[in-house]
Amino acid sequence: MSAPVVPRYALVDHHGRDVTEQDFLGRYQLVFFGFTHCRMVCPRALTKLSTVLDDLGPLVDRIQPLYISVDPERDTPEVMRAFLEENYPRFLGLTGSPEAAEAARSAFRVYAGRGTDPEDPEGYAVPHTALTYLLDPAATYLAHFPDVLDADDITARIRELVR
Amino acid sequence: MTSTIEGGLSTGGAPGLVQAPLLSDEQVGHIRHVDNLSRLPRGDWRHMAGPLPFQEDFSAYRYQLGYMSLAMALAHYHQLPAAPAVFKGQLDRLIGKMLEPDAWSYWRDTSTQGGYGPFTLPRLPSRTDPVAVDNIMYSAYLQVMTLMYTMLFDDHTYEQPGSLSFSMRPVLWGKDRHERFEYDQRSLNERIYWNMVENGYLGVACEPFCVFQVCNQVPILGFRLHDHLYGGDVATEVTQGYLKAWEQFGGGVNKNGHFASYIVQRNELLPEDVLLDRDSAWTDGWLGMLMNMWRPELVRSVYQNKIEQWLDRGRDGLISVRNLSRLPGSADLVELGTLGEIGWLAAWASEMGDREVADGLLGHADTFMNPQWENGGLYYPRRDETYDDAGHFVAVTPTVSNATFPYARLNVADGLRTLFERPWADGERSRPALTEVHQQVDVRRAWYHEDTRCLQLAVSPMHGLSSATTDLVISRVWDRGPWVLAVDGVTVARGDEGRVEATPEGRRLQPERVGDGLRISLDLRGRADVEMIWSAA
Repeated sequence: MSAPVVPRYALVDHHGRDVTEQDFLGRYQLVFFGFTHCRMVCPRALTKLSTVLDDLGPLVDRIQPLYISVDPERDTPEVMRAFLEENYPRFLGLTGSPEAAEAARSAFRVYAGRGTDPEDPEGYAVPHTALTYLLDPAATYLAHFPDVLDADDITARIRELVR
Repeated sequence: MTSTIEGGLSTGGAPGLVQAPLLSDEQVGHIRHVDNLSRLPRGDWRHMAGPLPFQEDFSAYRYQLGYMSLAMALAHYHQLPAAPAVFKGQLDRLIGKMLEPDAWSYWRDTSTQGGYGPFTLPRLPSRTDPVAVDNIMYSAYLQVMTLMYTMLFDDHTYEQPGSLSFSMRPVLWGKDRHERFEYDQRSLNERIYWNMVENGYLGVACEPFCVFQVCNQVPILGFRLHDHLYGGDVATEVTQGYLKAWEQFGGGVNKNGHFASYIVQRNELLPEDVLLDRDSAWTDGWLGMLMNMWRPELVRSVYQNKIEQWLDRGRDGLISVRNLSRLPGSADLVELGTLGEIGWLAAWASEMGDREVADGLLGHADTFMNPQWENGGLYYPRRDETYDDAGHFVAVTPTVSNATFPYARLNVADGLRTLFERPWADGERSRPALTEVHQQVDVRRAWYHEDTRCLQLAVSPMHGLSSATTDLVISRVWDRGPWVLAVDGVTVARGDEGRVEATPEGRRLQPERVGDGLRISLDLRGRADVEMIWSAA
């Protein structure tokens, strides 16, 4: 299924550099939205996607994995960097102002709400869509992978799509 | 009389030939009524006009057309699978009516929102395109109607770009002002999918901010049909996401064990999502009849525990409805369109296979709700009073008469669920079938039995007529080997891959090959049973 998605963003990476989708032209972008306080969806998805990237072999050099925050208030560049470098080092974290994060979320048509976190009464959870997007080297939408696909399925799909 | 041809092939009560059941007068009458409505000229909405303006209530044309289509699809799938002649044109015409501005132009006003029930909601700009955002109460029905049409008939009309077009060109807008939005069944499906994604799989809103469970079952069927026709597994993705999204709202069932109705989503005037979970018969019936597709255990559990709460059992097995939602101390309804409960509950009971309840409700309707026959069709005239002088429930909405009663009478146990799980493919669509029949003829049986290689048809003059003349065309009959054709047990023709030979008794029927079919002419004075049998492969 194709998508009416125009994947544009203007954010800050976890090294503090301003980035847009244009900064990765020439490489495929593998994009997942989430938040570092996420206890289940993000760890599961990032682990799965890390496996995919491991399994892709040399193809992985043509792919930039990106993790875009839907919780920019807590996910500063420093928080994103610490979280990713420790757990999912293949990913580059992107965050920004609430407005910039909201614009990116909206451009990808990602859902993100805000709800209570039963394990952290002082905090909150951000339920969000667990889709993974693949952008082509021109930074246009190529495909997306729902959460129900396992690592092997995603790897196979990427092998078909990345040429 | 039994006739035999080479290889022992016989007709007319031959051992092993089980007769598929005949449709009742009422079942045939519902099919005819829907067919009659489908043939009305543009702008003629007789028998379909509801009591409220603005297409706001549950008798809006979109709901009638959607559930009429589902009822007829189920009738084709389960009752008359070998009779595309009865349903193909009809379902196509219903899609045509769904594309009329009368059915969707309400959206230009409804899209502006402003409030619903107890909530004041933001005002939004008017939007004309009825499927781009929100309005799942229209878009999903059109999605399913077209995908179901392709699935049942292998007709790809609605794959064509622009085949689903919404054109707004009032004369008084002048020659240069015009709004037009073009889709096809795939791009429509895509729109709905992304609206679902963007809303976290909770569902797509009907009117802005209001996400109803009932209408969001329909796109799940649409995604399933789209997966079946074009590949993919979007239905699984969406249903898994749906379950997750509704977890925070009790899983879609309220504390009393009834289905939750809808959620008003947070917005600039409402800080949090609000779940509307008042017990209601219409939500239970409507959601139950649909959600059984993919959550059968839950639906059956709610049915067993809650259906009696809504039933008012009378004498002779008749069943009415009770506990309808009303304003305290008033005869006014709490919500628009709630008088359709009897239809939703009957349809739910039919899906559960509870014929005692479904037939009890329909029996009440046949006794107290003034059934009428018109041009061979059965309907129940609209009645806006809730109870008659004797206290019987008598309210009839057009949706009940035209859609949910036909649905309840023609559906079978787990009927929608079966269609969801096993949509037709080439195997079903390549079987011998009746593809042409005169409009004034009712088809009461149409089955092809794969095991005995026998096509069984029963036709009769339309209800109310004593006679009719018709050509029947039975298609997909060649290249299957030697065959014999019998009418009322008398062999009238036999042949093989390309040969048609009339028997002396059959010459007046003028059997002949036409394309991939066999044509015969029948003078009907009553019911005629037609059997075509092929010798063993």
